[in-house]
Amino acid sequence: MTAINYDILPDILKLNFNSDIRRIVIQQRKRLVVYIRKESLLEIANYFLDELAYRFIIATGMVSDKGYEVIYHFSDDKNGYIINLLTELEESKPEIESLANLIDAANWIEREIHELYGIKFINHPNLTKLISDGLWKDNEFPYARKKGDNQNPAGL
Amino acid sequence: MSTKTIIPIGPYHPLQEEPELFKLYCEGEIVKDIEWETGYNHRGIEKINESKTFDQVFFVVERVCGICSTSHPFAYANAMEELAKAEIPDRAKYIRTIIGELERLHSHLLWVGLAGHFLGYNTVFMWAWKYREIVLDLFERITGNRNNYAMFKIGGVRRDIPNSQIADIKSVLDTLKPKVDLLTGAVMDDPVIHARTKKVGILSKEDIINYGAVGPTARASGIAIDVRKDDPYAAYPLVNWKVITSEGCDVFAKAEVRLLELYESISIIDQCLDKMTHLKEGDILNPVKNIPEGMAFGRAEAPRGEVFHFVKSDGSNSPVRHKIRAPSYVNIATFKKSCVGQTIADATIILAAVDPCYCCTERMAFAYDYCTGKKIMNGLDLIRISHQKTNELKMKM
Repeated sequence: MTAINYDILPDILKLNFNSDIRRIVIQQRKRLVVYIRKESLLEIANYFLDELAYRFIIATGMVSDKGYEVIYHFSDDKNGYIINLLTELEESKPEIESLANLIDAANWIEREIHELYGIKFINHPNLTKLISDGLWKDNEFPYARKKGDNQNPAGL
Repeated sequence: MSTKTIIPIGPYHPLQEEPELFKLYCEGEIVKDIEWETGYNHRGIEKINESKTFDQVFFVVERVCGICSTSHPFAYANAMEELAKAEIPDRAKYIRTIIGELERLHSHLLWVGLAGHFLGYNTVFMWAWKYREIVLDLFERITGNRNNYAMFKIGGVRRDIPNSQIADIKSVLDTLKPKVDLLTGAVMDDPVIHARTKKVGILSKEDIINYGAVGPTARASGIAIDVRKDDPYAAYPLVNWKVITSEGCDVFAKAEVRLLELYESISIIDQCLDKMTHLKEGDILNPVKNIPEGMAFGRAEAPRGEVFHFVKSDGSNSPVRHKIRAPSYVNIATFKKSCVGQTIADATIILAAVDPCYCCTERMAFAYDYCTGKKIMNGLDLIRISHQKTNELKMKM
């Protein structure tokens, strides 16, 4: 495992991944958000998990102005840092490579994000419903982006 | 020819606090595979929070879990205070820590009782739950409630602990120590408990990392992760305590970690109470007026492990997105590793070992013959098999 110097981590990331890193925002002390190209997710996630021995916390799916965002949260337990890889997906084609083949911890959350937002995780071993079996139709994604629709889609 | 059976545990079963369905695929007595179904109780809390103000969210997240009901407000408060760049008064830090540790005490005692019950040690069950009452009484005295304490607020806490009560609270806490000794002795020195839980439900370090498991589940496999130490918050950096780990990787190690953590929690509360007496009474809140735009990431160490909250704010008075990750979400996934290859008699205690959130409702759990669909056994039978195994071991020793 490589020792991490957070002062130069942004530079190291830019050096290693060049144009795959769009920008890095320091949200708070010990909280970094790294905007990445979605095509480079596997490579960058692998770097954090294997090279830096980070722990995968969880992923968050959300609706954004242009489409969807998926944020992958990683923890550096030795230093108390949380590094977040933010990927932006187009509304017309919300697809991204699955992390489940890299780490089992991503399996369930990708299924959950898929069934709530309709985001497709390519090469996921079992992209079936996790939390709502029988509640919503197969092609109905309750939190998916709906233009001009102010009603709460989940009926809450 | 061996008979293949599916044993469903749940959706409502005394093994679980929340409705979940485990399907154990068995050949003979051996579990060959396990499947998990959930969503019976999906309440859409993350979505509800988008229509609540930042202050109202506390009352919603407090109801995510009935047992560790302060962990979620703790993580949420940590996130929001980082976003608002707010510093809370020291007295509030100590009060938050006391509440957090009292919660760990009652949650671990509850688990020890249930684990005892599944193994056929109902005396341990009755002791543990009786002594848990001491902690719940303390909660009632400090917060006004035995559960769902409503103590947290952005910028501090809602209620003070008067200095005049501190000596009394400390003396109540002192009465708990010998009870914990009694329980620890009952579990750690019993040869039958050793035989039932050692080398059972093994989770290697690699399994823990792969499934992202947290809390006592990870610490019992020698991985010393604890948010209180790794990413310190509240008064944890201001008091002396140590992270309990074990290299056992089995069910016994998980029990050992939880029991030893009880002593650490008592010590932390004791130190916090001492230090509070030197601080000004009533200085418990630095009001926060505005939550700026941005993202916030908060976490806290619940009795079952790390609770993680992500909040996105657009500068209005409600979150745009609020993501919650409870520790059981990652811990339950490890069943795929810990259960497969074990016997049905051990399945109950292995499932209970990660302390998945439990539901008070018992409805059904039937075993069907895989080929004929004929009903073979129900949930009570499953616990009976576990008790039977303990009794057989007792007879041999």
